[in-house]
Amino acid sequence: MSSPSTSPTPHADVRALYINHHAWLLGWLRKRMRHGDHAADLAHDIFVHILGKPEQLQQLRQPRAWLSTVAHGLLVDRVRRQRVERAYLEAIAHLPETEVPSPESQLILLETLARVDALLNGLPPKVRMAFLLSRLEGLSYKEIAERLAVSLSSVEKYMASAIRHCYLAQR
Amino acid sequence: MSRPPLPELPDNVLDQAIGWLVRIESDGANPQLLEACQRWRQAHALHEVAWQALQKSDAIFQGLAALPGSVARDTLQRLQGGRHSRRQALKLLGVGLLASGVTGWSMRDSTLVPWGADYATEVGERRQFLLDDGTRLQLNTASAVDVQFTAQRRLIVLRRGEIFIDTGKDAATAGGRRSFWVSTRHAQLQAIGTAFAVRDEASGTRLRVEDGVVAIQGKGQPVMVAAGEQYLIDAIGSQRVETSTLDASAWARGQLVAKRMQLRELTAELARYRHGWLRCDPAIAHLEVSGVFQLDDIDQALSALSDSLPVRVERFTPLWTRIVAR
Repeated sequence: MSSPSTSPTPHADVRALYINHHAWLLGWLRKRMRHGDHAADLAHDIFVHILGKPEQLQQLRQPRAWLSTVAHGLLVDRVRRQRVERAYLEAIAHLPETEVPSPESQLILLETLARVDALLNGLPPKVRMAFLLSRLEGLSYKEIAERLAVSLSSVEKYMASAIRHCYLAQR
Repeated sequence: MSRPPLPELPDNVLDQAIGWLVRIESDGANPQLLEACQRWRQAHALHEVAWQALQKSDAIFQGLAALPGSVARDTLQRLQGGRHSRRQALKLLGVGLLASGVTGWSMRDSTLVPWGADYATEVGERRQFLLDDGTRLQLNTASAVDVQFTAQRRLIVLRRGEIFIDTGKDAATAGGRRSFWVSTRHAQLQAIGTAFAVRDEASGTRLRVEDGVVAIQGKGQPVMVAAGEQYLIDAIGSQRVETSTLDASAWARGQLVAKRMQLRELTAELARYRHGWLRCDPAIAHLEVSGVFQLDDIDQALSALSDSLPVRVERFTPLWTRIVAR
């Protein structure tokens, strides 16, 4: 490892990166996003993100390849968040005003919903449904069996498989 | 948000722990079962570790306690549904979606588009199509139609949303013009050389004629609707709307024109054109608004509201917006 004292400050690195590649990054993002404004926002976020990781900038050989990797990650993350937020807002659209969770608690809820969604990814629909009815609505196995029109022993199998899946996904 | 990782457990111990948990959840009132589980937990240190680890694994759901359970489940089912139908969409991506010229569709909320609709728009989008009989068909936000033309008649099925139609001369058909129909959940409408707007609402179908005549066909005598008239049609019958707070075809020009409209109604109208949650505080729901708003910039429309009324717009995220008293 070379001594950090000889390298320029991280801010100078980011500045150089910004001057040389910002327009290119914006073009890259515009091709992939529907709204130009959002592309500009995201380009901004990407540079803020990079400011937080100055160590990666030191020996950058292919800045554009690296930038597009970072951008792709953030783009995917953003789309995922928007999907969750949209589904959530549709789900609460018909709730009476008084039952809508406060906007302050919304960020944490969305984060948790995204994590639970990722956690359940890959479960067969009936298994997923049985697990959600149990964990989110507190239904008994018997009630779940009735709701899904399956036997109690099927529900037990579904639950065992969901609990296992969730455990392994969080390990 | 970092949590201590769950321990690695031997497969058989994990399976045993899950077996106990499931049996107890299935039949929690059985005292012998509880006792037997207790004995299993005490039989080996690893058993207890596994038991505790399963409780931790479940703790993530406590983070959703602030949300009614059915809403949390609904959200997660919607997410699942979206993924599922997007996969289906890939398979089904045939004439229907291609015909609507949709691009970037993987980003759109495909859960809401009726499958196989010939022409569709997503939320916030308006599109215009020229059909082969010369008819100009315009779709408002989040709308979908099927176009079923035969040798005898032209039929447009409104599956969702709102359309504006300017019927074409049908010049290419031998033997003169074929009849032109619009079918909705509530009504069969026959157009007689006209321009008109049709909107599918929860409680009925709204018809506004701009030019010519449209006949509402029902059990009895057809009701003839002339230019400038507006009707609401439901299962019971059709009724003329004398005074309307909304210009029913202004959207086709990209505008929302409100006349003494209550803020509640205006908010609901604006919400149709954007994703997310847009509401107004019940305390100001009865304020009356008149004005012209541009549909291509709903955020601008919202700021215009806060300029002309004693209200302000609260935004918590780009998709969460509320209009409250200033």
